[in-house]
Amino acid sequence: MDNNTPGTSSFPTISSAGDDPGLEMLQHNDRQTCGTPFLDDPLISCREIEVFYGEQCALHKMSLDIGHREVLAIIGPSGCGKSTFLRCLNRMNDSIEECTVQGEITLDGVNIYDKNVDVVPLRTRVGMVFQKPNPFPKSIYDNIAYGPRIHGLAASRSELDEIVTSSLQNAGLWDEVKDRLTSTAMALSSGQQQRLCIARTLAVEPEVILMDEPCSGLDPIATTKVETLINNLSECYSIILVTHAIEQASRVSQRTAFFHQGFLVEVGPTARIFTTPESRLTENYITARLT
Amino acid sequence: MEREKMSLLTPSTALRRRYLHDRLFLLAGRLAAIASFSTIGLIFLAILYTSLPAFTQSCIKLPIHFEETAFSDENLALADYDMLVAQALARIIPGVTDPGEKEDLMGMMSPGAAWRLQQMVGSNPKRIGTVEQLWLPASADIDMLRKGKLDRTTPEQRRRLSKRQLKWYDQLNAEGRIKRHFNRVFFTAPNSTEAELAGIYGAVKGSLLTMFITLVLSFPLGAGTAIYLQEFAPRNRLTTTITVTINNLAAVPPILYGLLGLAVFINFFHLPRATPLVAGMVLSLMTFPSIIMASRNALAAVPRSVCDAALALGASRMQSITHHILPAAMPGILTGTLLGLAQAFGECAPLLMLGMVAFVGNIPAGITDPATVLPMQIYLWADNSGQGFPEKTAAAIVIMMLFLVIVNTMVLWLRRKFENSHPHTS
Repeated sequence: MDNNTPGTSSFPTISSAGDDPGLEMLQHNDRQTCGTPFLDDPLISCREIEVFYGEQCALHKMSLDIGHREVLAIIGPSGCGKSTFLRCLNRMNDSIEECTVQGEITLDGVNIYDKNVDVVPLRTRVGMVFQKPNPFPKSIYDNIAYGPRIHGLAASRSELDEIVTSSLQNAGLWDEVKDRLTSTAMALSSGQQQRLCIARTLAVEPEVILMDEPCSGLDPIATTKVETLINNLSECYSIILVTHAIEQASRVSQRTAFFHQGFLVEVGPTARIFTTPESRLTENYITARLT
Repeated sequence: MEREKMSLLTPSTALRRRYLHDRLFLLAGRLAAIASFSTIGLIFLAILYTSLPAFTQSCIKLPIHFEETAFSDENLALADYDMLVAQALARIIPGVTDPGEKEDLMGMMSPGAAWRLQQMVGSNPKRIGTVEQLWLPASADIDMLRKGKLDRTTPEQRRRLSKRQLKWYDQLNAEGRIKRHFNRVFFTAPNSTEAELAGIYGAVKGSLLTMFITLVLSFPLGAGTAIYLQEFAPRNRLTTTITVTINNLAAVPPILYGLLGLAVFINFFHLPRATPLVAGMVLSLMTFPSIIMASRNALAAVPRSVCDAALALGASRMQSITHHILPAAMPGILTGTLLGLAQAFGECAPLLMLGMVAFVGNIPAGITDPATVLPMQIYLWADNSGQGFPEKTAAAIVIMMLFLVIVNTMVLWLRRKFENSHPHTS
């Protein structure tokens, strides 16, 4: 396990590099993130954030900007802090009792960890899609309509119908389900369920969509559909995509961030990360995974 | 050394031994199932068989003359209905003059016969002046004789019916004047000291009123506490202590709750004793730890992913619970509540302390009327050595089991209904 605690200078050891043979000989011997973590006009900017689960440090001090309408892919081996970072961005970590977040994450210049910040509007603006499709045990229609209903986004039934229709269309699910909107969402295939979850997120009109390995449980065809969807959505939304499949990162993202054992090792334009990575850790991870 | 290939057609010794173990285990399981099922079946059949006579009542057909002279008083209730019965008996068995003999003759009828006549005249005064052939309830002893529960060969001193009464019985029987009717009284009357007049309805209504109070008090309290403790309360020493205390409360002997109810509700708050109100309050104290535990388990079993999905859409903590966790946990909560109620329904000990063991000859009209409950009625009747009461006891047990079967069927039905609409819990 990660034995790095704050204040000590112990870095990931060789033995804890674990199941990644390509990384065994390497250590992350520089706290500084390689590449270009900062942007000129960021939508979200993270400064010096650190996350602890109780005493254990899950994410070491890191800074990163996320731009408007870009797809940022986050890659890295299991347990490297990818999901932890993602869950910080809409404060889903709040429900984990022993989890503490330090540092500053600003959305449009407002620190989302400020004690005056209300998580309800935050999560409305920063939506999330989970690793496992988790539709509500309700009808397809009610799944999509849930968000707009609790936020009072639709003044009438016809407006709500419109939101449901457009969300399903944007998620590329409309043609498959338009004839059975009232049947239960649990009967859909897992790929359809995941796109339903994306449609449900779109229905509350967020600015940012966080996706936590959305394709990990899907077959290749469903994965392709979700990737196409991410490509289309990036025209309107900022998407932060955590993924195990680095090919997926190369296919859909404009920027890629590589996490390793709680450190943000390198971040930069996807094309550059995959061709000329600055860090040898990044290089080894990518080559070990690609070859 | 090369491993010998296992034959696909003839199993090896080791494999055969494995199969033998499997079969033995299966056999043991089947025997256990048969043993438990047949024991329960036997008990139930025995009770059912014993109870059967209680559901019928022997009646004697009498020609009743509602003579105007008998109703000289304005108040119809003051008329001598016993005399009407006696006159009718004299008509079918003439020539009885001796006062002792007359008493024997009258003893063949239930006191309920005169009462029945009073009711009939009260509901329709136009009967006065007419003659009617009426089936009126016979006494418990005649009833038992008719049902074959009385041995004619017992010496007269120890027999409950005299030689004369047996003779009259045979005479009436030969004339076709004695018949078993469905015992409506049993289902509509309160308790009585006369077996043929005693009914279960008072106890059933008392039980239902008590269960109503128990449900109204313990379900919202129990479910609310469970939701708070499971979903909102911080995990600290205080809440841990509360949880442990609640778990321990479920193991407290029920009679202690009765003592608590006696001390607090009756002696301190001066609530009326032996009423469904107090009984329901005490039983809800008793059921609510088990409701809390069942509800907490049900809530904890709901997958967090659904809750996360709602939170990520901007639902508040409360909304994610009321919209998603609670509906999914509902079958478990309801099952726990109904099972707790079923337990309270059969509870007797705490109610002894509240004075419910008293004889209650009225049907309770509300929650503040003296009442008794089914298990208490069973206890009271089982304690009564009078003719006909053992059958009543068995019949009351059957009624009680019927209620429990209904409750358990409801549990199953509710579970299935909710599980279909919330497949997450399955």
